[in-house]
Amino acid sequence: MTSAKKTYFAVSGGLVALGIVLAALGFLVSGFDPNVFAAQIDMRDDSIVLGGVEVDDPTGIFPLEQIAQLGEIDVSAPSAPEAPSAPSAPGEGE
Amino acid sequence: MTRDEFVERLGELLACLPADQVEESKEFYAEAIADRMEDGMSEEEAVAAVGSPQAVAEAILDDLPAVPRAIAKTRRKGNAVLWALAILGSPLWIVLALGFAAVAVMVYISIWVLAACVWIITAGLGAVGAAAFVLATTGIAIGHVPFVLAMTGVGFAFIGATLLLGAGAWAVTKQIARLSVLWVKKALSPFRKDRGRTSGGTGGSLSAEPHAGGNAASDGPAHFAVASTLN
Repeated sequence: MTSAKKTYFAVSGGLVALGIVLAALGFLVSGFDPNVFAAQIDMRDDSIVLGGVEVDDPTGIFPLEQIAQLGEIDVSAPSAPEAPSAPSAPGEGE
Repeated sequence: MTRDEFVERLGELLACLPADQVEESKEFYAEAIADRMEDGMSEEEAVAAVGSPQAVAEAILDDLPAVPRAIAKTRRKGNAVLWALAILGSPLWIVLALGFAAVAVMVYISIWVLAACVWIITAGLGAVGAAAFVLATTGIAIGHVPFVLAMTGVGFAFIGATLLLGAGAWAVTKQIARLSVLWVKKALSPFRKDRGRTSGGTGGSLSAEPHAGGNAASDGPAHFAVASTLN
């Protein structure tokens, strides 16, 4: 293995280790709250929850402000049109 | 039999092959006989050592890939037979050829889709890492320290995993590139001869090297080694 490869793998492994340590630290500081890893942006009811804390006003916070400006995007399937009523048989007057 | 008679007879027997291939074979065997004569053999002995023209021609034809061999052997019975079989058999061979081509192309694409999947997973991990860093900046904006730490950690971990997986994906891609080349060679093997393969496979070589200072097995026509085993 060349020294460049060794450095590459050392840097990669170091980043993973650093990441795990920082994530564990965040989890520890939050009081072992698993919600610290959660982020929820729901534009249907304008609720933004980051790490268990609700953000009331996203103005000035990138990219929350931009997402809030997008508004609600309806991704539900379109409803089928109503079926026409069946014609009445001949001779069956109303 | 003299060298010229041998070469002429060989040319007649190989008339079913393309003209350039016939010329190449004739020149090669003429040179092989000449080299043996230079080594002290008489012309008759040198010709006899190479083998009969029939045996050499059969060896040359047998060494062809399956499809050109079938065409050449059919052409020996006459061009009319070849055309008749080609036309009458077209409902069968066209369908078979299309099926073979479709399978070959699909397998080739599947091999590269495998490589694409590995890179897509790698890119996905990288995207998650980048998104985690963006979320960490929002955490700074709202002053949520644990979230910032957690997201920064997730970002670093995923970026590191992306780099590690990227190295793996690169190695996988190189192997897949080799595999695809092997597959292409395999798929074309019934139609085309792989010249690099022939020298080592048969193991035979003439005692008199046809090319001065050269290696008979590697320098000569593809069929040379097979033909020489008849001696």
